[in-house]
Amino acid sequence: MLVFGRVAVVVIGVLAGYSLLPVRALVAQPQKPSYDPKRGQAPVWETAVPAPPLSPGARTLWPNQPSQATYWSIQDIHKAHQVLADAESAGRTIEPNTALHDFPYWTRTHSMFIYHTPRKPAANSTQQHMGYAQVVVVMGGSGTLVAGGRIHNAHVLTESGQQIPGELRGSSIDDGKTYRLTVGDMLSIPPNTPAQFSSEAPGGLTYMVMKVNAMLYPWDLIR
Amino acid sequence: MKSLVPLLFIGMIVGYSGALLAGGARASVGAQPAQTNQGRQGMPPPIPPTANPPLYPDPPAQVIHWTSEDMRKIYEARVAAKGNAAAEAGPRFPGVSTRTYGANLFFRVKFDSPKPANRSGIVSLVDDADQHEGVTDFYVMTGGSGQMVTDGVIENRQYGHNPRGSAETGAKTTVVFPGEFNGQPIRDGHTYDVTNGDWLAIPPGVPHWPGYNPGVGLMYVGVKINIGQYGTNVMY
Repeated sequence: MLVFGRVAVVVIGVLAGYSLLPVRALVAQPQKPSYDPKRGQAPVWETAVPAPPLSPGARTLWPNQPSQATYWSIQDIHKAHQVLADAESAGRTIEPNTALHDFPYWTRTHSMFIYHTPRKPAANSTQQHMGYAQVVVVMGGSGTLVAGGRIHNAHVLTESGQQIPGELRGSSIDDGKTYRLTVGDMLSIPPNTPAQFSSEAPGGLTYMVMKVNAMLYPWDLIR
Repeated sequence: MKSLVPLLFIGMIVGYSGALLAGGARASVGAQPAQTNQGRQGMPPPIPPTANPPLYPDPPAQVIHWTSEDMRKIYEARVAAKGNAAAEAGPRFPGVSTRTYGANLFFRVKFDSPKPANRSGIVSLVDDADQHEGVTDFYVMTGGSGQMVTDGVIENRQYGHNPRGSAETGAKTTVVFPGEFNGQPIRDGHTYDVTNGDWLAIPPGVPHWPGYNPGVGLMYVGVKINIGQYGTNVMY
């Protein structure tokens, strides 16, 4: 009986000692590559997680967004500039967003507009937008962007007697940087950056501006 | 009774030593590793808490001008390098990443022979299709030509995961990105033949799959707009 008791004590001691070792959780362990390029076999992706198909009409994270992709060919883009340039040459005025299909393009987070700057810049064409960043794609013609620095004679935009907060206008830019623009160029303009587009080329300058909302900024204040 | 205490002590030493000899620390389902600065395997180290962390990342203060001439040079260099990023020469594309949007350059080539696609590992001649729940994509084609398949349904659809190319490195994939899906092919989609200068707007949740013409590849600037409070670190 005494021997049995001593053996039991030793066993208990072994178990207690074994349990004292720190415990490590199950984590991914390195393994040999499952893909052998020489044999051309498919790899085994043990941790790839098959995803169930989306429910039709499910729109959880993206309310008020289009449900399909939109494509614009370079031919249509060039044609839009030509239409606007011809109208300018003929002394006519055309709403630029009518020159290309699916414009203007509005979503909750960003919008896209087409602008046409005639050969002579209009008065008060210097703008500063506090509520959105701009991604610009030059569609046709050539021109100049002066950006950065400080807007000269800055004032808040007023429409129908009402001020539009966050939208500044001015006559020119002091200490800005000049960018020469031609077809196919792109620009990223941060929010609150003074910018003035102009053109000296026959037919002017046509460009698309994607306005990326700085978030929680009401669209009705964006110009 | 006193004679049992040494026996118990000896037993504990034997047990502890045996556990060490049996292969170090044991695995245990349910227990979690202690937080260390090394981070869990396959994941970056934990970010230390900071007071008032800044919104990530703040918008750059300057205008970025990507000229068509620079993009033409980049495209020619990439074609000459056959898409090998390590062998790229010529001007670099300065990308931009802000809290609300980002823009980067993508160059895709058709593989010479089938190999595992970049995300799903499906053996194919082209990279996988993408589907982003939290991002709108706007593509401006800046070189080459190919096809863009949009809409429809991604077959063999999987949750996006990292690291890329783990089939080649042998690293086991452990990080799954919510809201990101990959796979191929796309069924019942629209196929657009795209070339330099074209635009494509891809709303969130819409599958899209670039294809490429042999020899010329397809280069495009991808503008990504965050549709809300979506982590930029899970944007692809």
